Amino acid sequence: MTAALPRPFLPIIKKGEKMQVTITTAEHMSDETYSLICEGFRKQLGDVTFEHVIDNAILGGFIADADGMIYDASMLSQLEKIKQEITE
Amino acid sequence: MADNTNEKISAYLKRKIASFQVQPIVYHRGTVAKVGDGVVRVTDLPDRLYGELLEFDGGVFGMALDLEENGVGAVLLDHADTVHVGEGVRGTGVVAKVPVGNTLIGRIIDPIGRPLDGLPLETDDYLPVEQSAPAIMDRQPVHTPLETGILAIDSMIPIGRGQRELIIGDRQTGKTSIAVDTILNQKQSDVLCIYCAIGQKASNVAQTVQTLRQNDALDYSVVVAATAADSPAMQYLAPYAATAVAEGFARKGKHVLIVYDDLSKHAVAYRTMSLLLHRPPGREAFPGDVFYLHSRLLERSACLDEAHGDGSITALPIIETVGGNMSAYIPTNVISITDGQIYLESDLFHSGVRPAVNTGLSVSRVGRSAQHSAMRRVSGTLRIDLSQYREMAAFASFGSDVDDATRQMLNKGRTLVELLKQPRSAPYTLFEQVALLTAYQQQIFEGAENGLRAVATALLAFLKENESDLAERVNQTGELTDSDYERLSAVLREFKEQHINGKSE
Repeated sequence: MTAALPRPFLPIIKKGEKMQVTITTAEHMSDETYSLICEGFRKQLGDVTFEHVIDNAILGGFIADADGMIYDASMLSQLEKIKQEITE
Repeated sequence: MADNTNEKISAYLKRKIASFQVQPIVYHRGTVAKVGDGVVRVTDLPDRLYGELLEFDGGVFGMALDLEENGVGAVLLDHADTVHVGEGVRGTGVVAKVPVGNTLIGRIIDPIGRPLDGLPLETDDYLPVEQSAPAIMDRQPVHTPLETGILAIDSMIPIGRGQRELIIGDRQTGKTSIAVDTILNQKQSDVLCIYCAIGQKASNVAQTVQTLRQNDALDYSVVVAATAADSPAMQYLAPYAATAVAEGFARKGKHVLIVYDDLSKHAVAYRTMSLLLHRPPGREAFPGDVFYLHSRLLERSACLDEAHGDGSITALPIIETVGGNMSAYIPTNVISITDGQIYLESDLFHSGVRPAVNTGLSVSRVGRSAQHSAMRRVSGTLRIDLSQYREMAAFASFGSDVDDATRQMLNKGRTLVELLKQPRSAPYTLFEQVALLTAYQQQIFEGAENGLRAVATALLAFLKENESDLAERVNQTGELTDSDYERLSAVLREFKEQHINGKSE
């Protein structure tokens, strides 16, 4: 999923500062998968630091927060989307 | 039976799930730094579009109107109770847009497209609320009449399709009545109507909707409403949303009439928003771009050329004056934008002249090219007759002796004033208007000045019974040939013999 980030995901990188990306995952994500995700963001954004937050509320997948720009690939948001589409 | 329904439901759910596309969602997320008076300051939300819709965590929407380097000033579209400091805000990436299309006909919606009449609304098509006006070369001059059904207006202040005609007057002078009567008169025509209520009392809007419904006008109308209870941002958006709905039809070659009721309240809502956003106040505390607020709105109403579908949007903006002062700030702004105005006076209204149109101060800058030739033929001298009557009427009130010519002119003027009075929700067809004015020109009503209303009604009934084919021909073609004119004159003389002279004997 992070192989090619969609075009709009271009957070503004403040000059001279290293960007911090917070990755929120559910508890059960394997380390391997987590590393793949970090690698994907590193390719797009360059040298960044990562912070890992565990939150079971997202049910699965991950949410990446790069200085206010959110890349939401969580199970929870997809289920919300399905719910919206079905009830439309 | 229940099994059948269950099967249908499960098939629908399976179809929806199968067609679902898994896609990550990318958005900017800011934080609410300050909330108050319906205005929110959001930090860490760069790259917003002007007018972009922002979604707050509680499901409330706002509109980004102040774009700064580090944040955004937004005005809430819904009520502010649930938004609190520290809450997350998401930029939706879209500016406000409104559903358009035939599914809107007969519906009542708010400025962001949510239905207000309790039924679901389906649509495939959306248009942004703010759009550029048609270019100069995409337009053509106004050439087709838009009939209001009101004799005073169609004869002396004719309106054409694609024109902007302002209805201006003090409170309670019949401005909304004229606009609603014009909508009612479009029943037999191909014109779609949109009534945009801005800052009106909900009871007034309900009354208007009831009138439209009772006269089957909702079959060809849309109501866009932002009442006085809605936030200033909703009231600000309402006329733009209504115009976008109109453009959805006009681009497909349809003709649309749009009524903005009223733009004074719209300017006040915009002033409220601007002051809360700390924008510098100008004259009368209005922001500096209050002219642009209305000019960009009204410029979108136009008559499009054939290459662009030959459709049109006719606008009837309404402005409320205070103390009859047409020279106040907002009225003068809108007068200079529109293609004419219909000026309603309180004094006329209270003395029983309804519609209370002051024909001296009213004008239609499009003029006679927006009139059927039949009407043009019989309405030429009306303005002059009325203005001469007004000048001389003062003498009549003193009871002084006047010469015969003056007395005749006064009688004629009195007759005309009586003839121009018209009850609400009772529009005249073109033929009826032409017949009444021909009768006036030929002095058919002489001798019947008392009870003129009854005589006029009797005349129209007489014509309906005896000349229905002539009526239909004139209504269809808009023309009054010489032979038709002769025939009409003969019938009027016959009526006079039977009903007026016969009675007075």
